[in-house]
Amino acid sequence: MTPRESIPLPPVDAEVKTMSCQYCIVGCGYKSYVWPTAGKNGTPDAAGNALGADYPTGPLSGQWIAPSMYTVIRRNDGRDYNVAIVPDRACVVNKGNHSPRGGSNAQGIWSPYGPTHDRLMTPMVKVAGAQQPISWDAAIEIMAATIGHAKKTYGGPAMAVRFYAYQFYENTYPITKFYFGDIGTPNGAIHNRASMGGETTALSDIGLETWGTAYEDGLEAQTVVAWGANLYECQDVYFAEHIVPAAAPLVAVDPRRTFTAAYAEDTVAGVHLQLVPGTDVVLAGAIARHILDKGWEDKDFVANTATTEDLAQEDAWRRKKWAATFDDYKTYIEGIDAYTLENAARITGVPTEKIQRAAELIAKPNDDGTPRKTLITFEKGATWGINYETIGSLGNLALLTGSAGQPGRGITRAGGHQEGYAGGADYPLDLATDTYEGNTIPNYIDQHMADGEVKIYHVIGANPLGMTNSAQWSRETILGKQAATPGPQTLDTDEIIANFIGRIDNDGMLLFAQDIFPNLTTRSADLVLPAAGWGEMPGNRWNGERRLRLSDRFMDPPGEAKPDWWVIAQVAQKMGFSGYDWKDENEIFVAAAGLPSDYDVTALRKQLQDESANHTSHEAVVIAAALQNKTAFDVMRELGTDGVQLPARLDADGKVIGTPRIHGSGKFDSKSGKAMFLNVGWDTAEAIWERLKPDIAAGEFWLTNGRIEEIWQTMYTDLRKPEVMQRWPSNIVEINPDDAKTLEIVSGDLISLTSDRIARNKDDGFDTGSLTAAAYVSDIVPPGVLWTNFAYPDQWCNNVAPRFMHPVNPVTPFKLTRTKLTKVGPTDLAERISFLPRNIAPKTG
Amino acid sequence: MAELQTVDRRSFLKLSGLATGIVLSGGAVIVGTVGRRPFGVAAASQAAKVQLAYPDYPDVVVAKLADIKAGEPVFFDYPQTGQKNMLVMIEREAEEGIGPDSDIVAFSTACAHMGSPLDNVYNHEYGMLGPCPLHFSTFDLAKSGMNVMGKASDHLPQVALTLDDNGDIRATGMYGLIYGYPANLFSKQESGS
Repeated sequence: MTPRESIPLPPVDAEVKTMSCQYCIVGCGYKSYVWPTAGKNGTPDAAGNALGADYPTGPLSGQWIAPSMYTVIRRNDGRDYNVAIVPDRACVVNKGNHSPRGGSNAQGIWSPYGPTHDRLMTPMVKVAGAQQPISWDAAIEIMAATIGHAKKTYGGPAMAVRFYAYQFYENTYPITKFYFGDIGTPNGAIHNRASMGGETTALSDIGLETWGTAYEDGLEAQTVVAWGANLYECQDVYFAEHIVPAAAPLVAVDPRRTFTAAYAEDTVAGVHLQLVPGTDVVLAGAIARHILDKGWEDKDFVANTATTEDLAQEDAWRRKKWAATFDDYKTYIEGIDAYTLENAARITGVPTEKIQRAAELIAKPNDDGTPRKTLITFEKGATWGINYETIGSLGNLALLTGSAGQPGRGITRAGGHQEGYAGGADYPLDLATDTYEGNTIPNYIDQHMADGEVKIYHVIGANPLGMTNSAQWSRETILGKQAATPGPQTLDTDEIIANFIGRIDNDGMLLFAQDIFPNLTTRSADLVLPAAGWGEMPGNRWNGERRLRLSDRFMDPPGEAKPDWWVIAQVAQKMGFSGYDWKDENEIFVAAAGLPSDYDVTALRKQLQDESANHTSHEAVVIAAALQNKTAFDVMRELGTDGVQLPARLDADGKVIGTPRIHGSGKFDSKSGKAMFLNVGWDTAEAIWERLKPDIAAGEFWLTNGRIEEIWQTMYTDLRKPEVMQRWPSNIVEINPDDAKTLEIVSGDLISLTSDRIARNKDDGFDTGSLTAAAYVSDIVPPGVLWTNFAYPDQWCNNVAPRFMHPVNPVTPFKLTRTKLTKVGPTDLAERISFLPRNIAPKTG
Repeated sequence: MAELQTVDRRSFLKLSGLATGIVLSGGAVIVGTVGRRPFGVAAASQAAKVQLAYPDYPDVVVAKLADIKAGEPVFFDYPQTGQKNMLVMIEREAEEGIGPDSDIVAFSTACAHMGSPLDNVYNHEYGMLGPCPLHFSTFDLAKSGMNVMGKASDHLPQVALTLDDNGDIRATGMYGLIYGYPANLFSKQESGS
């Protein structure tokens, strides 16, 4: 594309709306500026433009409009409008800063002139392999009739729903109300995860909130831990604005020497623990054991953890099985041989002195005897390993060091999308049939599809045909069941319904896909429903410090696209279910607060001055609105890009105030209000690791994965951003120079990654899968370890990810994949893209 | 105007099938009514369609080839005073590179992310600019200033260079928008239009 060398400025009367970024969990504040292309532009003096900026601006102004922050849209009035989406310099999260993803928010929205022109715009039905437009009336009728038939004939579990947890309470509340409530299916899944198993279940079992810290803790901490969390690339602005300025030593735990890891060692005198994939449990156990050996535990804190009597009150099965007092935990840790320094070094590949150094940075008390202030961040390197034991081990470390609920001291996830999950109904665990030692756990839905239980698969804002685990097997399963009977031959609604019901009754399956852009899943679907995206409906969600913001609507959805909530509400009402007659998003937001219909404003006004036990309560927003005679959305709009940190509370004047961090009062999530250790570790994790590890001698590699800074998730907008596609026109696979030399591979070569040993829960057999990627030769990975981008469309790394769920808590060890590698041949990529090292940090000291 | 296609030189080179690194006397190509002499066969074949993208850019000598030493940056303002750029011989064949080895390039030194000066962070080992002192972004100077890694959502703006027969290196245009500016050719008096 031709790079722009000028951008029009928004005039002072441009429409301005507050937004949180459409991408990652950091949740930077943005403002959208919209003004007609036929009207006057702003001028470069401060009084002449909507940003109040005097151009040219200096460094860090937060007022420059980069070319990627600008686009042209068309509204339903038929007119064209300029749009600029600019980081908000007044927002406490980002102060005008942005990542490469957020900086190109504008490039991801629909433009009739841009590469986003290919949005899904009408409902479509597949007839003889081709998808053709139909009316919404027909689409709703088809959905209601087929879902109604499947439920009546086969029961709720005949439906599977795969949806998202990010884009707004106002959509997830109706989706869950419908599928988990009125339909009653235990076959639910989120994004790439083929079940509703929580990623941090062990942390909850310990009594800790997953998102309990405040961003400002990063500036107060004396040590920051980044465990399986690539903060520089994936948490750009959290790292830049809330961690880097304090320059605290960083403990980076990662099989790769990422920029974050290089920064830890070269820039801030921290340490990089470059462990063998999947050995996190051993490393965390060894650090804990060393802390105990040295007596560095926070003695006041551990003295207030659960006692035997406290534990006796608990009735949840996992707590009954694994929860422990501090003394029991100490005995447990000291009883595992793998946790001695020498054994841990042998298993993890991390030298003993680095383990000791990490323990010291994490836990050695200050000279005045006060505990060291440590902030533990972790992400998918931990959650997507051996989930339950790894997260349990990190939660134990948090308790051991008192890292919970205090300024500069806490534990938090550090990655992913913003949280927009509101349960319109709880997941019906009582209907699930998967078990661990007789205890019910959430269903692994891909397996339930393969076993024939599922008749209709409704995918909403996800792309599971590529990004579920063992995706190649799963895809073949679904496509096969869709082909059980011939598809409809006409676009007559009655014929389509009869045909689809025929497929359901003949051991086949229907695939409904609801999304914004065409992708592998929508292209394979029997029925396609076009959805409204970010900026096309107003909606709420919160960021990595539970900061709830309304992202407003500033444009019309393209064509006939509709918000997901509207689609669900139409189908539910057509089927005769009640409670779906919302007239707008504000009504759903109010419903999602969960207040009883006859709530007492006066009583709640008083009660909500205290912190709610529900860490993400927004009841106070609803009550404040009632007190001020406004809508809840009005209140959220006034809160702007700073929003409110949940749980929301009320001050004495009835105004909404936030809660910076959870557990600040020393109260934890258990019957006694005390936190408890979990005696989980390598004793159970080792067998899982042995089952997943590669056979190096037979030519297998570890294939792990992660995110590239410029790329967001399945690239649904990135595929249409020229800047991203120039940089990343192909998936890549990082290969150590030693391995590359042996295999005669250079950067840019096309590589085939194939496995016929994809582990699976079901039995001792294996699945087969493969993908291609371009070699990126770099010592960022050690010999024997390969790394690829997660969710690069069509070059899906999950084609080879295990068909395996953690037996206790059904989460896939996506990071622990094994593969063989063959060179396909050279490409022209070396001429087109940069293959320079991506891990060069400034050297200090 | 309607039937004219506006291109920058980089796109023109690709459209007309010429390899990068060819020295174009006359700099940015112009056919028709505005500016300089047409060049070569390729220009003739495009004559009906192609118009110079940056006809208003100044054409100024910014260095002499004989003075350029590998890995030693030279600084100059372009296209206007206060818009600082770095010219450097990176000893790697570069997109838009000039000189005998197509390895002389020039880029804005205002980071394309938030404008930090990049004057002191040239890395000759990799022909790379960065890590930026503020947020550690790195830019590949052989690959038209694309992110190696970092925060910018656009390439680092590159100066279009031309090498004359007498060894003068001239700046003739700019690819990409310089940080802080709404337009590279900026006039404070410019009114909204």
